[in-house]
Amino acid sequence: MAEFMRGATVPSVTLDDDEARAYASRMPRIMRASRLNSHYPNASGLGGHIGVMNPDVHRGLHKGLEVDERTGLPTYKAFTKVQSDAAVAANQLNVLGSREVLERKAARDPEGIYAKQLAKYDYYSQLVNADQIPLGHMEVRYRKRDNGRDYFNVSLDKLDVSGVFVRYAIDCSQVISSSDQIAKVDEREVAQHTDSFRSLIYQFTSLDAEFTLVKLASMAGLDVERVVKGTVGPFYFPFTNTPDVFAEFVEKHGFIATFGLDMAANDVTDDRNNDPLTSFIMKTVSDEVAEGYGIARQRIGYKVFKDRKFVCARAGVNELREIIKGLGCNTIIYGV
Amino acid sequence: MSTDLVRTAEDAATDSLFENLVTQFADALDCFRELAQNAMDAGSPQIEVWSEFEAGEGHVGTIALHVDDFGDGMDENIIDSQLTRLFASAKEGDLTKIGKFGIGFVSVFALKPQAVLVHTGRAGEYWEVLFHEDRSFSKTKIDNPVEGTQITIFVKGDSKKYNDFVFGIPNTLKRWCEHSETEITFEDRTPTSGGNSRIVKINSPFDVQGELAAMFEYPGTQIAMAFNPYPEYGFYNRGLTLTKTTVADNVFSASRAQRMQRISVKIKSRYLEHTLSRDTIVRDANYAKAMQLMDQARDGLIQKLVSEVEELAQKQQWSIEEMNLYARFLEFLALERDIDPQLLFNRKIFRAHHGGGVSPEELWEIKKRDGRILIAETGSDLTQSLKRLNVPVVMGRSGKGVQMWDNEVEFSHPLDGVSLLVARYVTKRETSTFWGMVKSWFKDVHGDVTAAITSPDMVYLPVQVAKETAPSEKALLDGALKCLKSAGTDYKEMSVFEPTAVDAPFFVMATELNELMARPSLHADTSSLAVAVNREHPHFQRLLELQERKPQMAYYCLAKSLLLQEDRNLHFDMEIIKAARGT
Amino acid sequence: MSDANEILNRKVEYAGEGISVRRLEEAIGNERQRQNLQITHLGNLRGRNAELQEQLTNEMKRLRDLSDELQKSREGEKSALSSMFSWLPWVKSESASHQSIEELLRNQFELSSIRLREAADFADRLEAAKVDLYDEIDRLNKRIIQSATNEEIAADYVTELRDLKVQLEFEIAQVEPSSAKERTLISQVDTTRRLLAEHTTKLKLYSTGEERLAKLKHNTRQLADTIAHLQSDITRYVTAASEKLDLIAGQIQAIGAAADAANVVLELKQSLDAMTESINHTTRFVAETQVYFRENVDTMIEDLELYDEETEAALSGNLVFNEVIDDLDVEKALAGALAREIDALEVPQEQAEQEQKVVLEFEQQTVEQKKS
Repeated sequence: MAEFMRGATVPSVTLDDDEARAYASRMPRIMRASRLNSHYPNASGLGGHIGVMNPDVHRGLHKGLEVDERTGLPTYKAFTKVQSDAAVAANQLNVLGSREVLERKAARDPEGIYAKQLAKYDYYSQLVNADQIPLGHMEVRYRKRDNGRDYFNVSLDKLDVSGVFVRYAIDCSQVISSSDQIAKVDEREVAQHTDSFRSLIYQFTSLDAEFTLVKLASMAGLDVERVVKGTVGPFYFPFTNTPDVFAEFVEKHGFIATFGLDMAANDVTDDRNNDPLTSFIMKTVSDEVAEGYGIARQRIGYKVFKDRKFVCARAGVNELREIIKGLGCNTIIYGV
Repeated sequence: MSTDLVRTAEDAATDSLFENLVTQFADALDCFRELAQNAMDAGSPQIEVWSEFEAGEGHVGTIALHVDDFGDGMDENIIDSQLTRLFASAKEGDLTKIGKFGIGFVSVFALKPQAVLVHTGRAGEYWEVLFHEDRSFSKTKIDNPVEGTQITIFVKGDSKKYNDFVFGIPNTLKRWCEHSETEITFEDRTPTSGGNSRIVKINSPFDVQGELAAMFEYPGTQIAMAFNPYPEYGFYNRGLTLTKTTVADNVFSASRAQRMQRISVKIKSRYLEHTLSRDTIVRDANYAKAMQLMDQARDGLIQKLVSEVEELAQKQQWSIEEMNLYARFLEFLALERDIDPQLLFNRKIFRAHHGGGVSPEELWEIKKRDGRILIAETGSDLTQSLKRLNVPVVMGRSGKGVQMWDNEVEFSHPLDGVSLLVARYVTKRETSTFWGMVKSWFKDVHGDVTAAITSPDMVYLPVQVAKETAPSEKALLDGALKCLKSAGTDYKEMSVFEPTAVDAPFFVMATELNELMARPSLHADTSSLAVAVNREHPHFQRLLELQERKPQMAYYCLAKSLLLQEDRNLHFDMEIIKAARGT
Repeated sequence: MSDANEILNRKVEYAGEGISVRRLEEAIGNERQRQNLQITHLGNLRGRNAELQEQLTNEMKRLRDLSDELQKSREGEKSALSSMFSWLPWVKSESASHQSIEELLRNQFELSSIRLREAADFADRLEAAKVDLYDEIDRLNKRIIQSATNEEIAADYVTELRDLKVQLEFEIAQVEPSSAKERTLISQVDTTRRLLAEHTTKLKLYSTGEERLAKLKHNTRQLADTIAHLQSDITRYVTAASEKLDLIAGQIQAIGAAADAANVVLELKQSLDAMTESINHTTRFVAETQVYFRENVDTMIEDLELYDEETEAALSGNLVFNEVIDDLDVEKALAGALAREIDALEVPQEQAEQEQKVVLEFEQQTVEQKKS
């Protein structure tokens, strides 16, 4: 196909129905086993969203499932498809009418349009009840007012450009009278973020937590206690671009799911990096930037902790632990 | 590498405070609620509670009770400043947290444990904290990564005690955490009866039992409501039960308790808090905010009720179920005092016979026009004819002695609520005008409206006047009419009618005899009235026979019967006798 | 005589449920109701179509504006990018100059995807409607055949009865007045008259029914064909637009945060142009569909309404007819049946005219006979 923008393609692989079935039914189980806490995107939402990409659920209404080769997660296109379907589902169910009628008409011609409408009816019915995850959702929760400051918890969930799903969470407070507001609090104690703040955070999601913390700390009247970036992915499957060190394991045990945590906070006691994938997926910062960070750490008084937990087949837990130890890390691994 | 740190027991004063705190909870198992609450505040996606029993010598063994979460966990600083200290909560005033007082963890000591082992990890630091029986503790840094916090409570006991825990813990969790937003499970991993362990899910959907159940969402607050004659009220913060009761006064102000008398509600709100002793909710400024939302939700539920009633009322045909549903909904509406009447005036909540709905506004107009509002239980040719004449007949029972407000009103019939509501809202409509209001100062408007509600049978008589009158009949009618006239009680005309029903009356009377004639009032001038006699009536037949022998007697009898039946001008008796004799 | 008894006692079996004025009224009424349903359905489709068109047009305009603005910002002109997005519910302030272009692009794309999803569902609904209409035509055909068969049965029987009546009247003239024989014959004539009345009515009713059903079928076919065309075209466009949107999805993800950097603006513009084009195709087509609906469906509905009035008139005519049946009507009914039989034989034009004349003469004769 013609390319409208040079180089602007997502390296992806399209799974056939059988592969998609196996993939989409495995993903909710992986998400459940990962025990993602509030630093990560909603696991059941993400699991549910991917779960309905199963051909058994959409009943062949979509052809193939496109998965990002870099992260093993569905592409933006695949996520959007489910989102669009979910958006029209309730209304379409009304329009389609009674299932009995559709079933009766479908029985007359199993290949005909009513068979398709019946399939759609069943798909949409499942969809309206399925957990979904918004592809870009920001929420500001008002925590309290104390000492002339408003305290907030800000979170942004987003399918990132790098193909991983990210939750960016920020605990911060601002001086009530500050001119450069990040959010406004109404009389019901409901906080509404400002557009510029949203835009700012939206653009930061691809960057690390430390950058965001430094950047926000420079805003007048803003105190940042913590910036946490919880990442779902990359997941490694036989069809993804898997680092050599995991390739054999993936061949043998089917998959490795990884969940990264990048935290910059003033209550982290030591700088630590327990993320074995750092060297594979992180861009190393230039010396100049590193030096800048060093100064910021001293001045603002925060420390950075990076971690990553894993989910793999139960039988492979010990083997994976050894591989990760070989990479100099000691992480949580859950078997499924 | 590990660091050891030993702390001694607190001094005597603190000890006694500690005892008070630990024993304040009604039930030692309530500590599981406290631990669950801490796990929720730590942002854990799930809480796994599980138990093990290891038999020892004799009957007594070791019971291990676990609470595992995958939330934020603790570093050394938090262990030192919060876990091991009382009243050191960092959550105070935070609307996103449930815990406030910093006493959650110590509640585990109510179980009188032999030891409590805590594994926890945060930001790459992993710790093991071991609390001894005397509540002194040791703290060790460990190498193996821990996610969240895993607490193990060791208690000495036999299998009976163990089974009490296996039964009691999930019950306690269900009582306090059934609507938790965090998934909670309980698993007995060493069932004493043998067999496999079974996972019990603690969470259940946040909904209420009752009719027209609806969910109302506001930022930070979620309210489930339904109509229910036996309501329950549940208060939650992030799904943790604060209180659950069937007594409205326990949780609401008197006026709100009144309004919520037939509405079941569950409210989950960041505004709600329980007291330190967890036995009731705090009624502070935040509570007031939650109650404001509660009122909004109630309005929403009423709106839903009105819409459903309106939709049902306008349905072309009803099944039995639909009729019962309509009646039940009307009952809810009838018993709800606090409804803005403006909301209802123009809603077609009443069902007219032969299709369509009628609003209180329309009924008020009809009352102004006709001086009455017609209600009938079943449709008939009469109601059909009335419909054609633009006189709607409301489906219902024209009940007697209906009160404007009566909380104890018991409906013996599904359609009893109709006349009550018609009377109530037509009255409200009438008094919503200026003159109506003025009128209400001097007059019982509601009584007036109630009196105007009547059944079409009371008003209209379906009559088929005979086209031809036999000579003998004519003679008898003329004789009687003459009698009446001479006696000074004149009637316009007298004829015979063909009865259409077995129990047709002896006489009918109206200004005009036709198929749809309204009954005249008792005070109407008789000279303007026409009378028809039931031709088939046995009495009339006998009078015809009598006429052959004693015509005057027959005339008198007929005239007298008329007055008797209609209860009119009975004092004219003598005049009639005279008149009859004179004929 | 046995002949007469046989004819008079014969149980004439009509196909289907039998017929009466009320039955026919009901049957046509039911058909009409079905038609109404179809029309309502079509009306809904039409409404949805209009809605989609409006949405797609708006979408396209926004995309075009966005593209232009991006071009401007690339050329260093003052851009009004954010104000263009003020319609989005989450864009609150006009002055939000920092809106992330990536986010705007995604929001726009996600909305476009929903619109296209709706358009695709709409195309499926059209196809379902088409299938329903073709089924309807099949059903109507069966009913037409049934009515035609019944008309023939009625016509045959009425002919027999008419002949019998002439014969019986002749016989009456021959027998002794007031004899038992005469009374029997008179009774038979009465029965014949009654049967004639009954079956002549049926003959007329079946004939009316057949005509009405045929008209109904014609209209239904028109609807079905209209919908079939629309459906196939919309499907084609929706497919094309989906493919383009799919391609753009990949690009949006790939462009990502870089969308906010100035050097990718040109590429972004191209990408948006492509997206615009895809939506544009669908929009234009849906607009054309709308015009088609407007121009054709209304006429069809008018036709159907006219049909309804005609049917009503025919039925009320039948009611009167039912009350005062005379011999003339019998003849007329038969004449109608004959004429159609002749039509069915597809006789050459000339011959047909002659036959027609014969029929007319025959009719004339009957009238004169009656007068005399």
